[in-house]
This record gives sequence, structure tokens and C-alpha cells, in this order.
Amino acid sequence: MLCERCQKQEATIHVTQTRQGKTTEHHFCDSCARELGIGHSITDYFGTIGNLFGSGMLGGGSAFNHTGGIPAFGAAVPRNITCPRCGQTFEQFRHTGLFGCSQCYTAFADLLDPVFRRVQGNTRHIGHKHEPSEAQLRAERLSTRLSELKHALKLAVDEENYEQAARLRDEIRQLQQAGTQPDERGKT
Amino acid sequence: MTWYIDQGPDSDVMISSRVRLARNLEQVPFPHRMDAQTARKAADEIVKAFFQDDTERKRHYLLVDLDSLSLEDRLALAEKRLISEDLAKAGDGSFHRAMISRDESVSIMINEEDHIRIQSMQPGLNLEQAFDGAKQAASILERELPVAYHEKYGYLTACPTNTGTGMRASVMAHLPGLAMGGRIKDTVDGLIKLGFAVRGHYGEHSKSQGNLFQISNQLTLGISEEDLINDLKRMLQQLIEQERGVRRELYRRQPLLLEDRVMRAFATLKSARLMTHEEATELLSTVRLGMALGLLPNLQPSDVNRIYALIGPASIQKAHGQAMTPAERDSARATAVRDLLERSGA
Repeated sequence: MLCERCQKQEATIHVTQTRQGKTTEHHFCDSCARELGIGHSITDYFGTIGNLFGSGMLGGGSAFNHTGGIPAFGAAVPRNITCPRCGQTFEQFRHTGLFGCSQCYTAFADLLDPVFRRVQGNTRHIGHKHEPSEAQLRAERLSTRLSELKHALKLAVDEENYEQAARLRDEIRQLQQAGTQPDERGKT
Repeated sequence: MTWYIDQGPDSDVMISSRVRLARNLEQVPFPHRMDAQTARKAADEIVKAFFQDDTERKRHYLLVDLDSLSLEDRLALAEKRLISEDLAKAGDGSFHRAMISRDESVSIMINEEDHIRIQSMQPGLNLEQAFDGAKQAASILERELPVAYHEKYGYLTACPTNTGTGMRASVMAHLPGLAMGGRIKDTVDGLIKLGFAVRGHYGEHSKSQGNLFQISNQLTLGISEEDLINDLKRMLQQLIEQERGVRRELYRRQPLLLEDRVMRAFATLKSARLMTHEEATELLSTVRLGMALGLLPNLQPSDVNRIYALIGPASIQKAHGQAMTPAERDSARATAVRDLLERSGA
């Protein structure tokens, strides 16, 4: 049997997939299977079996079964994307169906549109907007000020104005320390 | 005024309405990835942000440390739907908290699937007021806390099925007519096709008992809170008319059969010595139907609601303050139902 993808090589990897009671078979040659990321785990290509909205909602079925995982993607998915804040990988997200922290949304941004299209039928929030809290506004102001100072520091170093650079570096340090003080938020 | 006892709009079919909003802290891992220290810090921060130094709010809300309660006490709160079943069963030591308003209409769960889950309840079909209650609590917290929000995806939640508005609007619908008329399966299938979720009484993992169905919006992204509520409400108004129509039709066709069924259910509730929770909810469903058809003029809907709130296994156990065997619970339940009916004078 020929590989269903390249239609040239002999198919050596055979995959049987059952979803919503329907069984389908796929046949790939070695090199196509490798390119598609099949090999370590078949579910890497086909997604974990389980359809978010497929099962009946009554009698034990839930809207989101956390062992069900995230449905299939149309292409091979990079497995090694890791959220820099919480350390959760995209693979773990697909497996558990849960993000690890709010930063995961940014870390996995390139892969999320298909997920949301499938789960929600949409990819953009149009409801109520969150007004940033005082703490968030302060953090934003701090971050803007820090980037300004860092930019100025770079210029000062480029111009060999070391006195100015030292002053800027101290100011940056002070601001960074203040920003990490746990009680800072409650002070004002 | 208590949402699970009082009557509200369309109470003959819609027992209660609830709106839940999920919110998370920006810099903190979601609860399933928190260690104990982070969980404690998050819980403290949320509680502090909500109460601040507002004495009025401190009077109006009760802070419940769920870790310090027994499993029965937690399950009793879940039976009253003041916390989720998942949170009740989650076990100790994870810094689970709940802030519950004294009138029990608003409850804020901390460190559930999301850091913050606000739920607001109202009797009958009254999603707007339930939404107002949830919105008010959310805005207090959002003013004070760095809430996880994304320009594109909206409110960020642990599970992508809640991302966006973080809102789940639901009603508890009592549909004995459609069930007796053999139309419940088609109705539920139709609702699911239209994009709504249908579950049993206690939420996500439960089966329907006593013809009670929790119906809610499925989607949370790409549609505004108001539109979600309006869509759900429009559909529910049709469902209410269907259920009422079937009830009338069933009674018109076989009045004696229906009266017999209602009166037998009522008599059993008044006389039985042993009663399982399942039997009690089935009988109460038939009695509720009888009341809606005017067959039990001396019984008030609030009496039935009061019974309903007290007959869950954990609530019975809690009322007795000691470990009970299932048979002892069935006996205590039958006694409680008899006493309440006697007191109601029906």
C-alpha cells in the first residue's frame, strides 16, 4: 500500500483513529510520518481523542472533560513550546485541556486560534473590557519608565557619557527593587 | 429573601437563575499549578482585596475557610449550590475559601479551577439580576487586583471553554411535562444543537434527578455577556411555553391519571418512614407539577423549595451532627419531610 501523503513510498505506519464512533485508517511512509511528527506518539498528529462538544451533555457528559484534551490540528504541532512563566508545555496543555497561567496564552499564541475556533467557534473577545486595577496601572507605568531609562542608558553608553550612565543605572536598579517589593502595592 | 426558597418570574418552570464569572490573577499560576505557599498568598490577596476595610461588606459577607470544614459540611454547601461539587470534594490543605453573602445570593469561590469564581443566584428566571450581582462583586475585585486580561482573548481562564467573558449563565429548569410526555430527549438534544449545555441538578458531572435540568450557555468567546443572556433567555421563554403546553395537554387528556399520580406522591411524602434522596426528588417533582396545575391549593412552592434544600445526603448528615448509615439517613430524611409538610399545614 502506498503512503497516503506522498503517494510514492510504501506505507509502513498504519494509524487507526476512532472518533465519535467513526473509525478511520491512515497509512504513511516512514519519512512522511517523521515529517508529520508521528512516531513518538500517534496522538501528536491526530490530537488526543475526544471531542469537546461531541458527547451528550446529560448523564455524566460534561462540556469539557479534562481528560479529553484538545482536539486535533490540521498540521503537525511543535511539541517543545514552553511557557516561560509557569513552565507548562503546549503538549501538557493539549493533554490536560488547562492552561498553566495567564502567560501561557501569550506563549502559545501562534497555536491558539485553531483551539479557540474549535472550542468556541471564535477567536476574539467582544464582551466587557477589564479596566486595569491601580496595581496594574502602577506596574505599567513602572515598566514604561524602565524602558525609557534603559533606552537612555544605552544612548549614554554609546556617547561614552559614563557619569550619566552610572546615574541611570542606579535609578533603574532602584525602580526594579521598588517594583519587586511585596508591600509596595498596598502603600499608596 | 432566599433565592432557593422564594418564588421568582416563571417559577412554575424555572426554579432559579445563576450567573458565574471566572477571573484570575495575572502573575500567579492557575490553581492546578500552584504550590501551597502561592495558593495561600493568592487566597489572602483576594480576600483582602474584597473586604478591604469595608465594615458593611464584612457584615454582609461571611468568609468560609473550606479547608477547616469537614467533607460533609463542604458537601452540604455544595448541595445548597453555594460552592461547586468539585471544590467541596477537593480535600484539605489547598487554601480553598469562599466568601458567601449572608442572604446566600452571592458566593465567591477562591482557588477553584480559576483563582476567582463569582456566582450570583436569583429565584425564577431572572438572569439579568443575577448578572448584576456577579458584576458588582467582580468590579470590586477588579478594581483592586491585577486580573488576567488579554486584549484579544478577554478574561483569561484555566480552561479555554471559559475564556473571554468567563461567564456561564444558567437556569435550573423543572421539566416534568416534557419528561412525562416522552419529549425530554428530543428537547435536550435540540438545546445542545442550538449551542446550549444541559446537565443534571448538581452541575457538571451529575445526572438529572427529579426532572431538574441545568441549562446554560456553552460559549464564552466572541459574544458579549448581554447577548449571551438574551440568547439564553429567548430560548428559555420558548421552553417555558412548551413545558406549560405539554402539562396542560397531559392534564386535559388524562386528568384522573395525573391527579392520582400527584396525590400518591404527596401522600407518600407525608407518610413514608424511609426515603432515599432520589425518591424524594422524584416525588417532589410530581408534587411541584401538581401545584402548577392547581391540584394542591394548600401547599406553597416555598414549602417544596424548603424541603428540597434540606434533603441532600450531606445536609441530612449535617443536621444530625454525626456519621450516619444510608438507612439512618433515609429515615431522617423521611422524618424531616413529614415534619416540614406538617408545619406547612398542607
